[in-house]
Amino acid sequence: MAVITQSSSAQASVRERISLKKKPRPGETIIQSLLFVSGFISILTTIGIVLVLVSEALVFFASPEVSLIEFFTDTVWAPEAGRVGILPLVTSTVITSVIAMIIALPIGLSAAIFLSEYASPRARGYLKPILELLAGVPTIVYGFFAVTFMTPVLKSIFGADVVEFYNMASAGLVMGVMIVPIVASMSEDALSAVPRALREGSYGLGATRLETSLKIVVPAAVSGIAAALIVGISRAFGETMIVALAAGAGPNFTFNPFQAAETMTGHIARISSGDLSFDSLDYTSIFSIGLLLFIMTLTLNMISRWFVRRYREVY
Amino acid sequence: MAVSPSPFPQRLPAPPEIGADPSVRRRQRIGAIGQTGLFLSLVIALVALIVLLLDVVNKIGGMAVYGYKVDPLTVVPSIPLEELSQEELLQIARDFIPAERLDELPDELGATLEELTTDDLIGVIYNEVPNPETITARPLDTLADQELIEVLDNNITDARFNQLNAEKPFESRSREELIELIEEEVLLESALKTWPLFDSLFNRQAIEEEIQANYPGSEYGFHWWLTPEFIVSDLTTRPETTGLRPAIIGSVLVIFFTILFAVPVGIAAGIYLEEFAGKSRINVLIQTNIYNLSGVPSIIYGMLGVAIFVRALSQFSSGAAFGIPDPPPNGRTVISAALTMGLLILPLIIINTQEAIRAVPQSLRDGSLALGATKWQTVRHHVLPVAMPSILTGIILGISRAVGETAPLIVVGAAAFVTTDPSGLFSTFTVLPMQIYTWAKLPFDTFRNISAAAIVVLLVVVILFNLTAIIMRNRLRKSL
Repeated sequence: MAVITQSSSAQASVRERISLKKKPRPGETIIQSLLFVSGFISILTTIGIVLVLVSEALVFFASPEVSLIEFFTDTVWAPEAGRVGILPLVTSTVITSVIAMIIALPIGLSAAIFLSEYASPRARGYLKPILELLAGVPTIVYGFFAVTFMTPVLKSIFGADVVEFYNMASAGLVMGVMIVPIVASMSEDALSAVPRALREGSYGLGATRLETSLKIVVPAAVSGIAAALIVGISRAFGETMIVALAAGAGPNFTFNPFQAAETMTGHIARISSGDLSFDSLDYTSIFSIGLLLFIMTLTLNMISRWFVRRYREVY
Repeated sequence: MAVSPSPFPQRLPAPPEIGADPSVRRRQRIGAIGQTGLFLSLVIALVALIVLLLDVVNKIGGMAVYGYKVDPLTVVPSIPLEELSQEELLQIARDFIPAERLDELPDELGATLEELTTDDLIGVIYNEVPNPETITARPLDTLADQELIEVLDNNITDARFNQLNAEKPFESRSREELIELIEEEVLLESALKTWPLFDSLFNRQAIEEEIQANYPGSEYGFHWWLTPEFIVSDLTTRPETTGLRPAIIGSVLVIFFTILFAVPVGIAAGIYLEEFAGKSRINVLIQTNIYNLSGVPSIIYGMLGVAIFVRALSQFSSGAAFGIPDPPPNGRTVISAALTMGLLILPLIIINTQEAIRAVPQSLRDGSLALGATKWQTVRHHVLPVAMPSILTGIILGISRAVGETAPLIVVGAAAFVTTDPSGLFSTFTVLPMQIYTWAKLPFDTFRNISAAAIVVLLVVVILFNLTAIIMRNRLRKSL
């Protein structure tokens, strides 16, 4: 009994000397809050974007010439003339993006399958930089390429009277080349996330490598590939310089890819590269286009992230 | 859950020969064709890259035929008609008045041309012949030196005249130099038509024949658009004389301040999200938000920049609030551009920093914490040094993106025509890609040529950045 009391009193004295309470460390707290503030800047950016787009777009929709119904149904975009139908800008955006994806999806996916299923690590070390350099080329250079190379090539194939000087096909095709690396790298991530056991099972049943790749691995990675496709479309929607240089310099409601038609981003770039008065209808009108573009790309990106999360969960 | 990143082993055991089943051979053949097809996609990508580079290089030089924008006869002095004799005036009238008018004139005047006095004849010539001075104009090479200087003085601004005189006094210039000066400054000697580089190298004979057929008597020769003078000269409105210096300085300034803003903030946010943030709602929100921001089209950042930095904060972004002497009228300045660009590459840097920090082994942190280091000490002295090379790779890629990004700066800077070098945070600016856009938009060969020359400068920088990043990353992979 005596021994116990002695030891407990010794414990008490030790406890008096060593405090297990968290020591206040002001330096640590300051640094942590600074780091938090840095992270919070991204939230402020988003708030800023939404606020700016919505408030200026509201000014636009509040002006007497503009009605919301007309905005989504009219086929002429000429704010100064009182016609504000967004359709011609949207159709050309969609047409150039579809053309781009027709190029980018097959090429990007094939490249991803080859890199992930066929190439040796050594070969991959040589092949991947090609895609990375392609991804690093500034889009203004692609735009120059579209005007000075792709358009003349299209003219010589389809005839100079069929293909206009500015046209959606040229912009779309070059945009496709630009998007190949994005589709390839996202698809490759999805393909290499497919468990090895699936491949081994397939080989065990006597499938060739191509059969394994196309019938086992690709279907297993389909949600990741869908994510790549959607991100590709979203990139194509938001891409500016290629369409600003090659697609056309005026809104045009047409479904003919060989005709000139300005896209949403191309229009914003052209209108704002002039000396724009901040009180004009032109100025607020580009924010209504920007808001629609923002909603479109944000929705696509969210869907794509949902697809990515799905394959991460499955494997 | 554990996913093996390594691909399936390359050497598969050869499938047993089953000669009896013809489908195996067929399937293997299809497999080989399929493999070639897949490989072809990479070949296409490589070809696209090469064609793109060749297309640009094709326009940086080549045959050009030169001509004058201004008719030389309209700037040189001419002999006044009053000093001509009756016979000379008659000759001019007969040569330059159309034949049917010549027939009508005697009826209108009530006298034949020969019967008119000298003064009346001069009046008739002035009425009937457009620009009669050019008929008696004296060709440039017949003029005396003093007359050449007068031609210059009469046709360019005083400021330019004095500037040229200061560079080298006119009196000390040779006759040839003076004529050359007139050709450049007054007659605006320029390339009328240009040919692509590869055509000019391999097909020169045909081009020379074409020039002689279509532009008889014109000067022609091989013209390089990408020259050292082009890189260091001022911006002008003429492709023959313009340069890139203001755009290059603008790019360097904007990128410098972008780095100053985005790199510290980006790394700090990455550290916070990986090392300090718990699973609280706000942290999850920040993380999701960063992924969403990385997908926002760059032109939207430009609109954010123009509405907030250029317009709402114009007092600060033009420098007026800081008492800058004679500030620009609006906020379309270097600082607005740098902040916009910084916000644009921030998600990129944050995501990359996070990945780099995630790759640092947990045991390093555990060891440091076990020895009593605080969280920040652990991060500062153990995690960051290991993750740094990988973080740097991401930063290089981010900068390379910022160097080539055009759309947001077009919105923020409004593609201003800037002739002076930007000098600091509060000066109006132009950057390389904006200049390329401005030139490439114009449907003239010569503007395409200088656009291509500027693209080469831009591509050299961007590709160097990218190659550095790729090589750095491959080294890192090997060392890990």
